[in-house]
Formats: sequence, structure tokens, C-alpha cells
Amino acid sequence: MVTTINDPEQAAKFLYRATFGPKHGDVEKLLDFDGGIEGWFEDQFARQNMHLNLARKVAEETGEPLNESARMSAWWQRTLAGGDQLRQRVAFALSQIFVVSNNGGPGGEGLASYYDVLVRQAFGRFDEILKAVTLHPAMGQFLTLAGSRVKNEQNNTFPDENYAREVMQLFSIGLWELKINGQPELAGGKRKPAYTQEDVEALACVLTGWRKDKDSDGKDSNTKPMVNQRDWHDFGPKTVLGVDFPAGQSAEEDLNMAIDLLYHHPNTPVFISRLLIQRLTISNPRRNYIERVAKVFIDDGQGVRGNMKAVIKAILLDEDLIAGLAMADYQDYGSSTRNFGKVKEPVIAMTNLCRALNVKSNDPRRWWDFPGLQSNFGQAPLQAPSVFNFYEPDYAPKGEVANKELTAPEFNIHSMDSMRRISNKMWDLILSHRYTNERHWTWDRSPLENRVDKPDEYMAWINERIFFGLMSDELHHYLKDLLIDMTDKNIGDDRRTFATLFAIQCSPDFRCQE
Amino acid sequence: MKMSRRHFLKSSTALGALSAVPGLSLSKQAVAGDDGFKALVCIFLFGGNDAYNMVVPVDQHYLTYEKARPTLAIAKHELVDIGIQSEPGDTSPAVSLGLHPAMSRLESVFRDNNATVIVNSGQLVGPIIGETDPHPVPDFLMAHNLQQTMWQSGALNMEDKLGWAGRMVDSIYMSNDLSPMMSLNGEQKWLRNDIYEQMVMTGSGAGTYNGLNQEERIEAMNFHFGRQFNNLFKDNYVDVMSSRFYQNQRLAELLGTDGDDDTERSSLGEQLHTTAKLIQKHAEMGHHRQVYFVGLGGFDTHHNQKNVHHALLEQLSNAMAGFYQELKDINMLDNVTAFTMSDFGRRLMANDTGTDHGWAGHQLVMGGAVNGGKAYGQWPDLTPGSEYDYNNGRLIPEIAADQVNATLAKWFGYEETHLETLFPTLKAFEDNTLDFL
Repeated sequence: MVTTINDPEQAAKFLYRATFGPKHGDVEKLLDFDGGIEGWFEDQFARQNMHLNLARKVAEETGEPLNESARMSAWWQRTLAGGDQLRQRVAFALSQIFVVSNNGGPGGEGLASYYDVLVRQAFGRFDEILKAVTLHPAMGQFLTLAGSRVKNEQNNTFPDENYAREVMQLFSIGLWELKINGQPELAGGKRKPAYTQEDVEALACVLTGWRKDKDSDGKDSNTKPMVNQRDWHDFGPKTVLGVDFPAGQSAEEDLNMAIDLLYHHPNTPVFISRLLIQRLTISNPRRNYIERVAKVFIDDGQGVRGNMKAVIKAILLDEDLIAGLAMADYQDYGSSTRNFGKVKEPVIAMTNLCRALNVKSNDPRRWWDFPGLQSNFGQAPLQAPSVFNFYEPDYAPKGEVANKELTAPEFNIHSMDSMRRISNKMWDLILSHRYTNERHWTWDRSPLENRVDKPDEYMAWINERIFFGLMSDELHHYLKDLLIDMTDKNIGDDRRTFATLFAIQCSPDFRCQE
Repeated sequence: MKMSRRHFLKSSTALGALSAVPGLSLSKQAVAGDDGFKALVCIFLFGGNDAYNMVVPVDQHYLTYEKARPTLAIAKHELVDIGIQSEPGDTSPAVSLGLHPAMSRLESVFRDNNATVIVNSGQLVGPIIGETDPHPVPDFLMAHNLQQTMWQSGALNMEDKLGWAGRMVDSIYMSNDLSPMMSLNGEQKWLRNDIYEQMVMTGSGAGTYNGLNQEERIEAMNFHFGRQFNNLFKDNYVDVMSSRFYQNQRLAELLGTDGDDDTERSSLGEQLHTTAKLIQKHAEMGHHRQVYFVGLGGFDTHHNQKNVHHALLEQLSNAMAGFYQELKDINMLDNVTAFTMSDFGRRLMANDTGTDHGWAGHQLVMGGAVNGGKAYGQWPDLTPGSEYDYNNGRLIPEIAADQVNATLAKWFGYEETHLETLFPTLKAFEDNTLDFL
């Protein structure tokens, strides 16, 4: 059942899930939206900001090459200022499923172009996404499908199995046969592998014969879809997952058939739905929640499979989110309110703070990656250490989460070092209200300065502008007392505002969401 | 005991004076005068190292190798002869082994008899080679993440929440203060255990929390450390933020927060350098046992292998040789055993310019306790279709990873009679351990 969003608290929670964090006025806009939540979705579906064109513009205007720095500039601008928040947020989630990384992938231009595929396809159909991802040269390079060729007896060389394996394991069906609610199918008490090494080898043969296209300068293109190279393709018959691929099919025909096979595989709806739920809403969805979304994936109500608009809506409007229910301990049926929510991805916590404070770049031409995401946050867009992303979907930290057989993937990157670096970069952002260096960012602190002698007004501003009404009473009281105490001691504006903001950025309240 | 809940700091603590940390002096006493310190250092080669180009025959058996991978074979005259041979068996002769030319700095370590090669080893749940009724092959042999997990868990312990080093230390008294389980390469299953948090740091060690230079901000941090929540994530977040903070403060105190010298180091070199510094501080940390994880990625060489693999092996070799020298300098060589793990070996047969996922490989072991001068295990027949050929040049291991792991655990002090509990696979093998240590 799809619910509606009609009170400020639910609206704020919804915006934390569906966007990179609310900005001032977003909650009211959502509540007053023409056509209600449906209207909001339709409006968001229609918006689309691309990255490559923006990265190109940055490169041109600054005379720099189109490198990772230019791509990150585009990413920050779209993320912090773009009106197509839902699309951008979903693209970021997809980038953590269909992983391509600068670590083994192409440079900034190819990666921005790849990200645009995810942006463009975010509300498309799943098979279209999968095909576009497969044929993008960034993926071709990252998972070495580009150049994979038919077995050569003379040189004793074989097709490359890399993409064939990962497209099944990570991008579509997953390792184990699954029920519609995400539980593994069991045979004699054991999980059943969804595919075999023979399937991997056969699919590798199916996917032979692709290479990068050429740009006008004759160099390998990192932006145009790959093209096929007839003599590299394996034209023999193959059998993948029990389906026969007849001999003589072209690379394109074989590829289309493979995409279709994975798109229609019974695992794909539940495997992909669960990953998206974890990225967008909560870490431990109930079986019912997973099943409801997977069913929408199978059929959007109009007979369309893999309609991502319907899937995203089903994820963000599920009744469990309104009720605040998550999976019970020990993967049990029933439900738990304690287990509801997630630890924010570090990057998302940062974008939340940036959007709340309405941060601006000091360089009018571009955004520099002032927080240094990759080295400081344990994650950055298209910069995962490997195709397995920044964390495992089933990661559970030692202690209560693991003991209760629950998951909290984001804890996987909250290491000793990351925790310190994230805190330092958020602190730097707080201090940046007075920064003027071109490569820095800044924000307007005057509303806080104007209220710092009026604790009630100050706290009201904080609750409304940084927590969008969701601040806990406990934190509210603590910060107010802190402010009053410091005022009594005649401590200056700087230290008073800094203390409250420091306390907020590192708080469990701000770094987690329900 | 639970270390994480919850550390309260005095302002002075956060500002750098750590002498008042409870527990430290006690642990020191517990190990005072203990010269039996030991550390295990796992060097994980992420992506699946092409071990059959890392260790290559330097005698007449080179020809079979060259024939199996004509486009990728290293020229014979370039190999680094390290003066060791594989073990002869009923059907395999002793084969003289050399290293990839990028690894010349390890030659002297092998010549000192302080390093060895575990030949043709890998994940097994029971013997296959030479068996009339061979054991089944492990699940998802060529999948990176599952194979990484298998190395870190034990071949039959994939479902276990803890890694084998973690299960090992759960029964050994190690310390009651700062965790002796340290990763310089991200959170790792290998180290997960029931007692200690693992300390995850970068190669450069610890650093400072920039905001914590005023009383009220320290006070605010302290406030959060003491909070309790009804929500699972917020409640556990408090544990994580407090224990991470505490670990960082302790390490900063021990190691300092700035680089110590101007030596240029690779990523792996930096990790092993910090490891050596931490080993040197073991008594101050109250440790008589330590377990370290370091890692190097990029071994998934499907493409352009020649250049990429050369650079990786060079980094590995230089970092290991540098670590060896540092251990020597601090007189800790006999107390430390370092060893490699990798997802899997690669297929002998090439792709176009690279290699695909395989199965068996070779691992390196280094340290003063190593019984060097020879390699362990028999050299397999690399001819396509031989009994070692699982399919298309993916080789079947003859030594089980768990036998190697058990040997390391035994050296570390794990009760020998319990090894089959730690690694249930061992029941299927004649020997629980090998004699390389």
C-alpha cells in the first residue's frame, strides 16, 4: 500500500531519504505541493541535470583538463544545488550497485559520462539501465569487458570472465536463489547457488566481441557506447542458466538475449529492491516491505517489469516507513521499532549539513572538492575501492547489531581514521563561514549571530533549519543549557556558535536517521 | 568484556595528556619482563595475485610453464634465483624456484633462510589431488569477495561471524586495554572476535580531532558519549564514536601524529612501516601478542597484466624487504611472522593481455621463525589436462589454506590440540600443520 505524506515530521523524514537533505522551505513545499506527494514525484521525474556537460564547462572556463576535479565540481553542484534531488539521489544509490570506480576505470570525462547514464536511466526500465551500464566504456574498462574475445587456440587465450561474473553476482541476480521476500531458497537446509562457474564461462562467451568506439580524434572513446568487433565474438552455441543461445548470433543479439535473461530472472526484482531500500530508507527492512517492493518491480500495475519510477515510489512510500517498523531481531518475522532507520552514509551526512547551512562555493566558476571526500569520508561517488562498493550489504558491526543478526552496512566505513577525518571536515565546514579562499566554501552565519543572545530563538532556528523539526528534546535541552551557561560566563559569539554546531555535527542524532 | 561502552574523557585527556588512562599501568605489569612477544602480520593481496608469475621454475621445468602461458611468461634469464626447491613427491621432482624480476630485494631474505614459499596452496575442504574419492570443491571458488572471506574465516567457516584470527585470540589472553587486533587496511573479517574491537587505522597511524581544543566542545563530545537511545543505530553509534575516539587518542599518544621521517614509501610500505612502529611499542600498549592486517589492491589483472603486475610485485617486495630490515633493527625478527593471502591464484591460460580468476596459488611467509632454505609443497604439473588442471589452467591446490593458517595459529600460541576446532577442514587432512614454522 502506498501511503501519503501529510505532516511536517513525515515530510522531513521523507526528504532525508529522497534527497541529499532538505533545504530551508523544502518541507513546506512538499506539504503544499500541487497534487500532493504524487505531484511531487511527477515533478521530480521530469527534472534532469547532467554531469558531463557541467564538468566540461568547468574545464573550459578554468583552462584545466576534464579531470576528476572537474567531475567532482559537477557532482557537488548537482548534489547541493540541483532541483532534481530525487534523480540525483537515486543515481548516487545506483552508482553503488552498478559500481564503476576511478580505481581501474577511466578518468573524469569517462566517469562523468557513466554517471550521466545512471542519472538519465534512474527512472527508466531496469533492462535499459543494465544494457546501458554494460555497454558504457567506463564499465567496459573497469570490468574489462572491452576487448574480451573468443577463445584463441593458438595463443591459448580465453574470453574474459570478469564482467560475466559480476553482472550476475552484483548487478542482477546475486549469489543465492531468493524468495520474493529476500529469504534464501533452501534445499536440504542449504542455500542454493543462483549460478555456476559453467554459467560464468558461458556468459563470458556470450559477451565477447565489444570494444571502445573511437572519438573524432581517433582515440578510444570513454563516452560513446562500446561497439562490436565481429571477429572477436564467439559465434558458437552457449547455454547460460539453462537457456540456450543459438549458434550464429551476433554480439548484439547475444547481448540483448543475456540482458533479457537477467532482467526476467526471478531473483532480480528482490535482489535489486533490497539494495535500493538499504541505500534510500532503512538498513533492515521487514520481509513484507521487501516483498511489496519486489512485487512492484515485477509488475508496476500496468504490466511493466522493472519500472524504476514505480519501484522508487514503492520504496519511499512504504507503510513501514510511516509506522517506523523494521525487521525484528534474529531476522525474525514480526517487527521492531528499535531497529528502524540507518546510519547515514558519511557523504550523505555531509550533504545534509551543506544543504541545511546553504553552503556556497567561493569560486564562482566551480566547486572544489573542499571536503576531500575520497580521502576523508571513506567513500566518494565513483571512487569505491572495488566493484564490491564501500561496504557489504550484510555488514554487521561487532556487538548488538551482529548478535541480533541485523545489518548496518555504513558502520563498515566508520573506522577510527574515518570518524576523525569526517569530524574534522565537518568542523572545517562550520568554520568556513569566514573563509574566502577560492578553493574553499562558505556559508552565512549571521542568522545564528543575531540569535545567539536569545537562546529560545537560537534553538528554534537550529531545530527548524538544521533538523527540520526532528531534533530530540534531549539534544535541544543540552544545547540550550550549553548556550545559556556560556553566555553567563561571557563567552563570545564565535565560541558559542561553534560549540553548538560542533555538538550537532558529531551527534548520533545528526549522523543517523530514522 | 566490552571495551566500547563507554569512554569518558577528561578535558586534559583530549588535550593530549593521557597518563591517567585507567588500565594502562596494570597491563604493563601483566607483561613486564615477558620477552615471548609474538605478532602475526597478514599481507592481503586483493584481487587474486597471479602467483604463477610471482614464483617460477628456474630449471628445466621452466619450459612447461612457458608453454602454458606463452604471451605472459617471464623470460627465464630475468628470474631472481632464491636458492630454494619445492618438495619432491611420488610423481613430482624437486623444482628450483625463482621470483619475478620485480622482487629482487627479497632475494637476501630468502638466502638468509628467513622466508619461504608455500607452493600450490589454496582453498580446499579436503584433499583432491591423488585421491580416488576426491573431496568436493569449495563454493563460489572464483568470486572475489567470497574467496577473500574464505581465507579470513577458514574454508568451512564462511557462515561464522568471526574470522579465524578472531576465533584464535578469543582463547588466548592478550590484553585488557588497547585492542591487539589491528588493521591498517579497513575493517576485516579475519580480525573479528568476541572480545576486542579491531583498531582500524590508515598507514599513517593516528591524528587529531581539530575541533577539540576548547573545553565546551570536549564537554559536548563527552555528553554524546554518555547518551543512550532507544534506536539501535543511534545507540550503537555512541559506542562507535567513543571507542574510535579513544583508540585514536591512545595511538596518537604512542606514535605521535606526524610522520617520523622523510623516507618515501608506497602504500603497503607505509602500512608495514607503521606496523613495525606499533610492534616496537607493544610493551607500552600492554601487549604480548598482536595481530595485524595490511593490504594491497589491484591484483585483479584481467588486462595489461605485464606492467601492472610488475609494479605490484615490486611494491610488495620492497615493502616486505623494508619491513624485514626494520624488524631486524628493533631486534624483533624472531617475534614476527608475516605472510601473504590472496583471493585466489589466476588461470595459467591468459585472456588477451591479462589473466582470469583461478584457484591455487603460492603464498610467501617471512620472519625469523621461518624454517627457510626450502619451499613447502610439491610443484604441480602445469601441462593442460594434467591431474592438477581443474579446467583451462585453473589449478587444484594440494596444500590447504587452513593447514597454513593452522601452522601460523600454532606458532602464535594457539593450543595445538584444538586446531581442528578452529579449522574443521583439518579433519579431512593427514597433517594439521606444516613445518615451515
